Amino acid sequence: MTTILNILGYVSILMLVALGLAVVFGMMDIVNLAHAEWVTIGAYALAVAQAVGGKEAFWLALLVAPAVGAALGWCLERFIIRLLYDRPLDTLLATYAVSLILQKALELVFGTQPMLVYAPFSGAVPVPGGSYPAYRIFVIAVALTVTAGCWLLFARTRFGTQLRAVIQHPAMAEATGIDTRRLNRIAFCGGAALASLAGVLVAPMVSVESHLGVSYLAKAFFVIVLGGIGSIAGSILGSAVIGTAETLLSYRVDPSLASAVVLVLSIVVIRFRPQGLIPGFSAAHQLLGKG
Amino acid sequence: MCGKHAGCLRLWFSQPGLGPRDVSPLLMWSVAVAAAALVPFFAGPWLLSTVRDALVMGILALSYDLLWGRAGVPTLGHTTFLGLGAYGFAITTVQFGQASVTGLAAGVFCAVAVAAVIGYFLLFAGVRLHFFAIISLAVLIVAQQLAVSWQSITGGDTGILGIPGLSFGVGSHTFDMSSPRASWYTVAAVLLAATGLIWLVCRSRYGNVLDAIATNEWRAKACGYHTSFHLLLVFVASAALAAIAGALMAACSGVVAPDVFSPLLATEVILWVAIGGRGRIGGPVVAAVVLTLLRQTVSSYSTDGWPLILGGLFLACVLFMPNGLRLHELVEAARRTARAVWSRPPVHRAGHAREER
Amino acid sequence: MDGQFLQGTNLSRAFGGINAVAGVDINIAPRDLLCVIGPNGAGKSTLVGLLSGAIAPGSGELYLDGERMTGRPMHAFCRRGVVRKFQGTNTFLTMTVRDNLVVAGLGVAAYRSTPMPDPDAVLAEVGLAGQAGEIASHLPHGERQWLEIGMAIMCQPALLLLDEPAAGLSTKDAQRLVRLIHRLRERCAVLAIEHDLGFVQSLECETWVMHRGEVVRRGSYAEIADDEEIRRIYLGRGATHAAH
Repeated sequence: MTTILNILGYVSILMLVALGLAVVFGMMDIVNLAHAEWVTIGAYALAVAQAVGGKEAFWLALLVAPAVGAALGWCLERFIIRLLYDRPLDTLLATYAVSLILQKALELVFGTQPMLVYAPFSGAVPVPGGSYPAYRIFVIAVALTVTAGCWLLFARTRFGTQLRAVIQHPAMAEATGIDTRRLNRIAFCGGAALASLAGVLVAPMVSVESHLGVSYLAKAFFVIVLGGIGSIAGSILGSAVIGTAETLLSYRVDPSLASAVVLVLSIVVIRFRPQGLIPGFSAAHQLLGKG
Repeated sequence: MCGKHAGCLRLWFSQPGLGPRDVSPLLMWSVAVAAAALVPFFAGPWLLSTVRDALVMGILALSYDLLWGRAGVPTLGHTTFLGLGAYGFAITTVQFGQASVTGLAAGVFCAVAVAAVIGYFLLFAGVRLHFFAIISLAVLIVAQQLAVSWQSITGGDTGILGIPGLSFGVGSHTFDMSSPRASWYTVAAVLLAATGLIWLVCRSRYGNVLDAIATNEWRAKACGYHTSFHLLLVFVASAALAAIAGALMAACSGVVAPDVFSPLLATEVILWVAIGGRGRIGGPVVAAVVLTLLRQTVSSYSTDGWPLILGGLFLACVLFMPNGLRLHELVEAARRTARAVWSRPPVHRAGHAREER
Repeated sequence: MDGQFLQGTNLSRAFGGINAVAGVDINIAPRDLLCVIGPNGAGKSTLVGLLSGAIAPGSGELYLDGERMTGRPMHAFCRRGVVRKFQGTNTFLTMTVRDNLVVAGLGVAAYRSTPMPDPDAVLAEVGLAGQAGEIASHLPHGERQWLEIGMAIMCQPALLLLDEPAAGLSTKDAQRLVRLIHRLRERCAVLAIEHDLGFVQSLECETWVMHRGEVVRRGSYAEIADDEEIRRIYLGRGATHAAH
């Protein structure tokens, strides 16, 4: 049972991080390599909140960090990505540069030592097979709930339908009166907020320093490549597959070897199913010549 | 792929006659040869070693220019092959006590093998652009992790020390090339030879083929080219050249550590080609040498300063200098930026006329 | 069947729930000239995509010179002589006209170990001799069409698939194209899909009519033009056919 909970923990965080990436990539052909930095930003936001307000500030941070993330995401879109609207490949490079700058800036402002963060509550909950930290269960619950909420938004609301229209054919969506610019911006900020939320949740369980996001970056991209671009169901499935594989493998072998094996397996799967497990019919497929 | 191999090579690599466009590259190359020959007589050993190390980075830049600048395959983890070349050389010469040439071969072999496998699985599946770039980054990160954890072979965090310098055995006589002057000549010779060779290839019909595949792959397929195969070829060639740079780096500095697999260095490589001009061969080499020397100067004053400057430079280059350092384009880019920041962005990418499938 | 270059049996391809091409049988002998017409959405472009390897058939088999080609990639089709001229234009925009032709011809020539056709001769044939050094993106649409045709010729086709070749061409150019097609017929088979019925008429060849993914009529253009049912498919019920 603890194994399953460990898997769920990893997978649910991965889902939160990958979700925003999948939608933005599917909608705007934009590969935001700085996306994982928002996880770091969320974690640092928690550290700052708790340094000022004590342990209880966790709940405040849970609300404020996504807002901060969304605001910073808006800045990124407004000042950098908008300049590169007609050069999708260059956004890859530009966002990579931004992630470098952000990492270094965080280091300069906060120093290279890991920041102190506290879980809002401690203690363990009895589960079949032993006991499991209550906080981790809380994280799983929150992450899964938010993911489910996103899926509902995507699949069942009018707004979600408009998002899906823009993913499939931006020009046509605009022609039917959907304001693609506004939707793009909302999706971008939404994805940033999700990543920051993931950062807040994950902070008490890992070491909060400037390289926090890097390990999630590559994983998140694997998830969407494997799962299928522009499809929420795909990202969920991709997260499940990669999260499970890596967690199970790291019981047996060195974590870096586990990463390597998952990497190789993903590449092999992509070879035989380039469109991903659940293809999302996104315009980005055409861009990559995979459509 | 084709019947008679000799005739085939002539077909693919036939050169156009010498024309006015060839004057300046030939001139610059000749000047570079002369400079390489004469510099050791004027420079002291420390300066010679420093610039020599920058020249090795020039070889790395050349390999990436071939891949991204010419074949249009951007990757974020190109230093994987630099590291594989360096570690291959180090492990072969230190732990197995083999000669330099064997070490070089081993390093190149490792890089080529990894490039061939990854390239085959991804390129033949049609993975391009963003995905390919990101997966290459993941490979780099995993390579770094493995270099740290596989202590028995790679020496873990400290890496491998005491790598012997370059030496070549001809018959019973061994030439020791490890002195600053000898290693300078070796590195300069490799750089100049590689530059010349790649210039010749890009000038030939095969250069046109690569251009075609880079700009309109679908159309190239419709002309009968197995585009994935050609891209794989270029990917492997570029990896091999990067591995050569890695082996040279290991031999010249005597030490190799996991930080050779750094994403930061991989970013610098991209920057060299971006600033020097994609596909311009000479430009990226010069940019690499200049920026490497710049990095060493800045790092001696402040360790945190360089990554920030690098990030900033990179961002500025992508935003304002998409085709490399050209003055009139800078002005144009500034004008474009001003327009974009103060007005509404375009609705969608209608700018490029989409060619038919 | 002997003598047939291309044999397609029961070719079908659906997109989602729509049958773009449904159960088409097609046999092309060397030096055949065939026109395929039909209203929009009839499946003509999909058929050309199937025959050139750009699209894999959902069901059915395709053979070239007896070799099974179903599901093989596009470059394999081109190397065996099925060359497609795209609808609209699809050239290497950043390269010169002459380089476009050289690149087009090199791949197939290298694969077959045969010499490449002379680019200058092809330039003269399509009337672009004066623009050899011009960058392709600077050419006006009509001339880019000719460049496309030149590139197709450089690929040494055994079957040339022309996707709406007369689109955007002036009447004079269209007549030039008709003459070129008749000349090309001496060395390869030609299949053209076209909307311009005047162009089809001047080709004077076997014509097929497609409707909703199926081939509904095969015959000479004269037979087709007189057919009541074809008029109805094209023009709708109760419309009269205006003679060209």
